[in-house]
Amino acid sequence: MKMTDIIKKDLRVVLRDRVALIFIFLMPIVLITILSFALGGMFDSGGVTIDRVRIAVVDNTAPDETLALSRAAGKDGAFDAGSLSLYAVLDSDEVSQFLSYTVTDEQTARTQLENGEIDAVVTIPKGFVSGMTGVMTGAGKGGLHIDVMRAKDRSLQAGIAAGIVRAYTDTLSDLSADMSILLDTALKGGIAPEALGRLDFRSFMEGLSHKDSISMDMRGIKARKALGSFSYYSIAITCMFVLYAAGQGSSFLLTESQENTLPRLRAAGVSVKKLLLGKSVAVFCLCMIQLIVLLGLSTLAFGLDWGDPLVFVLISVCVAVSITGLGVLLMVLMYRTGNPAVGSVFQSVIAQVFALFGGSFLPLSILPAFFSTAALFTPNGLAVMAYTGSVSGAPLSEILPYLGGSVLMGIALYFLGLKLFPKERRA
Amino acid sequence: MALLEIEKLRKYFKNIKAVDGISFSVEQGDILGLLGPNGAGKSTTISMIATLVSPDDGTIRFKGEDIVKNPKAIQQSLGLVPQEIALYPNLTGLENLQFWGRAYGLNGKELKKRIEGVSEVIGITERLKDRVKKYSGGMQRRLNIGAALLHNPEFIIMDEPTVGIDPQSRNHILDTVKALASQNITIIYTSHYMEEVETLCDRVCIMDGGKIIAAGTKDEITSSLGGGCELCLRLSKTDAALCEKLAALPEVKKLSADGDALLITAGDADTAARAVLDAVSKSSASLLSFDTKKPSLETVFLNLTGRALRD
Repeated sequence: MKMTDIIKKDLRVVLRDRVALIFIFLMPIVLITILSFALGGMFDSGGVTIDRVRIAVVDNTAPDETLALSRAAGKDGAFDAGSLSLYAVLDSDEVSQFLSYTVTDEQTARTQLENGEIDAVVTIPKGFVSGMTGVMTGAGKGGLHIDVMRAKDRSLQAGIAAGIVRAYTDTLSDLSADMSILLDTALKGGIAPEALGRLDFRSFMEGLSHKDSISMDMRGIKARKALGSFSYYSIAITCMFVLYAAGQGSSFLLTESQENTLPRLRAAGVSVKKLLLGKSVAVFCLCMIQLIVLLGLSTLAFGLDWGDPLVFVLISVCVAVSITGLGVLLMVLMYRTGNPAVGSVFQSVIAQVFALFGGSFLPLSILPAFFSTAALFTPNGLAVMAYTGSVSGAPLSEILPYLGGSVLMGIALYFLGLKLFPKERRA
Repeated sequence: MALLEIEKLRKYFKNIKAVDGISFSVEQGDILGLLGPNGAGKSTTISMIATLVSPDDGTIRFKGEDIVKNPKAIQQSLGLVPQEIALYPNLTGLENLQFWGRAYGLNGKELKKRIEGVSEVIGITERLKDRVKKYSGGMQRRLNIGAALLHNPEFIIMDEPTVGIDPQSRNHILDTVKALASQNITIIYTSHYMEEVETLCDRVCIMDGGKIIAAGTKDEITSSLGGGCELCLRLSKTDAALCEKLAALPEVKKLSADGDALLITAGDADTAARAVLDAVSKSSASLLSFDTKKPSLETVFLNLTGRALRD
């Protein structure tokens, strides 16, 4: 018997089971619609509405550092060194729309953070501006570090603050690299070091950074698409209900035993391990069908855009692998114990816990930071992160860790299932 | 050489001797009846022949090949009709037959042809496209048999194939078995219904407590009782004193009363009949009817174990 015969048969049996169809297809569609409308208020014009980000800046730089930077940067201070400072970013129109800051001392900032009055403390260390001077002249090779202390229970806002600071320091680092290359090339080309001192730094900086390197990076941050409620819940609920595909598949082997078809198959020379393998692929196919149907339907119904189709397929395959692993483990447990309740307990308890921690009920961004960590240990959580990342335009490199996690989880659960599989009574 | 040879087969489940050193053989084209009450060891024996359970000891040879060591030697030649319906209720009859045909390596036109042939034999051609869960019990039983016939097996095991079905389906199944036997197919047939085994089987093994307590043709087995018989009497009235008197007769092995009807299992028919009639004539009851029958396999079992087959 070919394995495809087992797969086709199992899929036929499931797809003719009305209860299973309700669980796998109908309920998710209903839930997506209800939750999208009911919780749409949490999403504003396609994006998650978040509280204003409030930070305190602890500026430990000495006043004379700024002056030194100006001197180094251009003749008679013609270049405005302040345009490269962190304040320039924080005061920009784009950032000031959602972030406000106060400059204060370290002790006050800590107190404000502990009292929940602010979301993060950004500390500019002493010597930071001098470091920037090095950047301007190419003399400094050390890193530019700004510390960000975050409030744990305001992970989203604190994350935004940290992201802005990271973008700022990354930009300065890029600038430093560009400057090094330029100076190196100039010196190798025979330009005297003293001639460099006569360079019009302002023009140079503007040319090097294409006039506005920092704001360029900020546009990069904003380039991610925000998710609307329909997009989010289409993903979140689908990823929750693929767990039910695992639950459904978990009964495949025990049902063979209960319907007395297992002895008949064995008498025909079909080994139980071959059956298990066939049924694993059936769970995988069921999961893929479910993902494609649900996400496809939500596209048709709500006009959602899933981004690059190849990435979408890649994510779906990885999600299906993790769900297959889970399904096989459940299948073996159910067969081993001979107890169909294993599937029921999974569907009614464990799947719900996974759904909660995996962000299927509420977006992880509005939940405490602990949930984001816990989501990494749930197949649906990893799936939600991968899909939402893809939909919001994240590059594949950012999604790959979630896909790797899904595949690893699937493989680990699959082999755990095989390990627990009872030995056949006959050799 | 016999098609199937079983020697000193033994299977224990913990302390229970499910099969306790049995030996028998089945010739090509024979129908062997396996009889015995629940727990006699029939199903375990069948499971071992079907390679579903490994024996603790003994050998099972199919065409001379040891199937304990090489299960494949029998698997493709065997058609197993389990006692329970072993079908997929949510699939149609056709899909079930396709699946089971493929399980035995059939495909394409060959499979289609075999399905047509088998569905005609079992009489479900008109209902092939219906889901099995909509079939009657009898139709499910017939399909259960059909699934075992698709690959033209030369050896079939039928485990209680007529349990719980209507007389019409039962007759259909019995006709099917006879038709298979006429094609020189070897069959092991187990049943609680004595008359089925007596009608169909060339040879019979009676099992009890994991052992074979009688084996041979029906005549060989019944003659082993020394001409045992059954006497059926209908009296104008029966009383406890008469029943006790009859039961005490040395020729009478067992007596059961059902109203005014008495069923007596006895040894030698002539001697027993004379003694019984003599006792009745001396009582106040009048004899309304009297009949003697040859001993059935049920009678044999009763004589050998003191229990009825269905106890």
